[in-house]
Amino acid sequence: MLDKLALRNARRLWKDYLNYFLTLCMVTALMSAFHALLFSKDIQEMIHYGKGEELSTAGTMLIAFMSVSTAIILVIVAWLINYMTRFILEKRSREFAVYLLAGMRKEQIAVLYMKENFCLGICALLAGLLLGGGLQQVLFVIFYKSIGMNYRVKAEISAGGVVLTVALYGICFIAALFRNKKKFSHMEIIGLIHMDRQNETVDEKRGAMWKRLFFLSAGNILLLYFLIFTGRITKVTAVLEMIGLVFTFYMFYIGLSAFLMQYIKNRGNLIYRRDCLFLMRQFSSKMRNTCFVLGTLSLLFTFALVGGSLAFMLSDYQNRQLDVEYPFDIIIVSDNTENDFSEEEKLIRKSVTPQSVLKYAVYQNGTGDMGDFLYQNLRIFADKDSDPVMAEGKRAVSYYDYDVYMGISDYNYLREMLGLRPVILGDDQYLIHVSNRVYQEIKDKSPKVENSLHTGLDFIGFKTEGFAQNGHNGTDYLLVVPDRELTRMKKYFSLMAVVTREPVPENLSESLYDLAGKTRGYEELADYIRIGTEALFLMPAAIQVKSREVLELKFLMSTLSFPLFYIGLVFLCVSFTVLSVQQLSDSHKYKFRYQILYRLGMGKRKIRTVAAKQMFLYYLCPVILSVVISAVFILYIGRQFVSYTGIHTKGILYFGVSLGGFLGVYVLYFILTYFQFAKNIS
Amino acid sequence: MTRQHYIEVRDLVKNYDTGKVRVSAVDHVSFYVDQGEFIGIMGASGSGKTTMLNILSTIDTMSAGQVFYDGADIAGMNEEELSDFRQRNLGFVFQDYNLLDTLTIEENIMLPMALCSKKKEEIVSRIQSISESLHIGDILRKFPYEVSGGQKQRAACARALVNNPKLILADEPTGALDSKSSDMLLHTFQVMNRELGATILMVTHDVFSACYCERILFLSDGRICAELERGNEGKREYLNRILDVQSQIGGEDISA
Repeated sequence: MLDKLALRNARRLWKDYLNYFLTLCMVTALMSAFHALLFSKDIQEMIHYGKGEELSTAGTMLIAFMSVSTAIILVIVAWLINYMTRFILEKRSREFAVYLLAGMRKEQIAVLYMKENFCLGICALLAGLLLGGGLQQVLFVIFYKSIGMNYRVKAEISAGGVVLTVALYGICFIAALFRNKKKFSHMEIIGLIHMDRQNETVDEKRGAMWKRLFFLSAGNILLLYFLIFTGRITKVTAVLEMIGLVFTFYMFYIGLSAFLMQYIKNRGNLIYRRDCLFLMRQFSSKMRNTCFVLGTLSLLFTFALVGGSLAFMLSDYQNRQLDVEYPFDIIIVSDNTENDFSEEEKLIRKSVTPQSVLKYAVYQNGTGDMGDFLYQNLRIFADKDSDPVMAEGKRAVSYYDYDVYMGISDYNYLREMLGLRPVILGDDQYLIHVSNRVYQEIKDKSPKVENSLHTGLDFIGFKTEGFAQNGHNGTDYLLVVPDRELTRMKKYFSLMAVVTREPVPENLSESLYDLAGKTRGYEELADYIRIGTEALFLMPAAIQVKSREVLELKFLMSTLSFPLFYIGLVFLCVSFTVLSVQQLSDSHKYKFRYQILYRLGMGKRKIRTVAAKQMFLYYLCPVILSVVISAVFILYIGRQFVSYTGIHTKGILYFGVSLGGFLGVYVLYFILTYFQFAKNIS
Repeated sequence: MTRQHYIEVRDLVKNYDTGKVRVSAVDHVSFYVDQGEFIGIMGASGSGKTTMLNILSTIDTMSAGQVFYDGADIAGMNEEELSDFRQRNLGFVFQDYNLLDTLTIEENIMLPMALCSKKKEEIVSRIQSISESLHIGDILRKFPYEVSGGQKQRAACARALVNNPKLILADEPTGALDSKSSDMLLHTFQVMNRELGATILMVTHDVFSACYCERILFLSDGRICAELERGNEGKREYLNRILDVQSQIGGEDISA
């Protein structure tokens, strides 16, 4: 009998909380697909060095980030399930009271409730795993594409992924259900009867006091904008702002609700305009009763937006900047100025057919004016140590001691290798080839960089194409002079640049390191290499084989961006589910209110419009706050990212793309909820 | 030339099809209401009172017949026109008050005016005058859950009156009230009718409430089976006549 009842109730649960069910399916599908990525045999091979068991740096990062994201998802899914089971319990408390009155024991009801939720959970899990199988293939295609490899779609079930998903999902469900069982045991009939009426009263007494919270929260957001955009943010203000933001997220809604109530109480003009009074009252009372939930949702939305934007930044860097950072297929630098790279060339020719090879040298004349200028003027060095000795040390690890010069012939040959037009330089002229990120910062600087240099030549301009300037063709900058000027200078480093006809095998990198008697890895990097301002993703390396470096960096970026997308998407789904069930579960109450409006003469079409407005306002509220707060972070991070990487993208674009994706999910959930809501109140 | 009544119901029919059986909830009913009348409709449960009220209030449709409000036939109106008509011409008082719990008493009263896009000044002065007339000035800033049932019902009356409707429809308005509150409410209805000129149609099965009506229609099995007019009669005589009709048509226990 109880089993039959549980089954029937579960069927009703599925209908009443369709969005919750769909989100559980979606989250399970996402979890299983991402776990499959972690357990994939191919990826396991990719993240280990050779056949040994040692993990690569990217592999360590992949596992670390996936573990962190799995832990975060576990917490959020546990929160969702706990919130929903408690929420459904409250909404059905009268029904449980009737069971008690009919003679059922508390334990029986608790078991009944557990069975119902268990049925729902198992159905969602199975549907999610099935969906996850398909999603896994999509995810693999995207992941492989993002690291520049091809993936052939195949029917495959990742046992490890499924087991991990089931285990995590099970933990969340069982924990939530046992918490509820405990709640049942403490419940009295009277408590159950009144449970669904909690928070129904409207408390206006403390309105005036709470209203201040709205202004305080809004003020705090303005202060955050001011601090960030005027560059006044320090470690102390950052910590204080973080505390202030937590306060803002949770107090904003209490404040806004009180503000609206106060506005209505003071008979603001808006309340006399058609449906405004009804909407404002609906909105403010709902907000007052759910301010904690709204605060949490705003926080989740903010994380989702910031995470999504960071992922887009990485993805953008991956797609566009790597070709700028690694223009040559192979480039090797040596501090042995007599190195003729004959051994290396032989080895390269064994693997690939070079299209063009240049062995050349860069020079120095004992001056470091340009390096000094950049160190004094670039933002990245703005927080340099006030202690001159320490400051000198920092300059020394960023730039070479002396400015790097190159003759125009070698320069033009290298340009031709890269498919760039040669440059004409007069006998008494020079140019500066500088990385774009540096150029963007110094182009409008006063005094001009050229006035700080004492070359005795006329400056004709900057060039900013990708030119391997992370320690090879100079660091951030290269001074290009007529060949005869080099006779007065000393050789600084020898280099060999290669452009090949066909793709270079990635393992050529290891072979070249073997030849040099070194192992490719962090501890073996050339300590004389200076990489200047691009310290975000690049490591100093004397030997750079583009295919290997790009693969590794793309893999590294993907290990960062994928978990960020994953977390962002799950956060969005969870948040929108909570928002929609908040509206849908109260629809019987709203139905009554809309019936009154109908009797007062509001037409059905108008009622649908008012219902849409009500839902839109409620949906919009946590979104607005999170968009406003995340915007400042993303714009700031985006600006820093562009400035550190030199990528040609406006910081606001990352926010725009991320917001676009966010709004896509928003619209989907909104439409789904609106149709259910309209059906419920009609 | 026949005189045009304020509200005229002609040959009204409402059928419900339940599978193969057709049930007539209202069966060829005709009557009229004149401006300023306080008319009651009585009948046992299932006699068709509420169905008729729902049709008159345009929230339910008729199967056949015509209902004229000031000469305008509501049967020919579409959904939008009906809601507009309802907004401008009808006021409602229900047994369970139907006040919005998130709005204060004052806001509940002003809502129909705001929905009709009335001006702020007009709304403010109307609420002041109507709340004074119905003695609810001191509870305007309270929420429905903070006031008594009688006060809620008077607030519902104020809301029903606020747009100066052609007709106030009251469905068992004293059903949820104790005798003292009922008495106060019915007195309020009289004030609304006599002093504020409201036309009231009240559905009730309570004879004491019916005593306040000037005319009473008795419904049985969807038909009007009797009609009483108070005229210049005293309350006691009128009550006795109502009880007589009730016993003749076999109504519910009315002694409660």
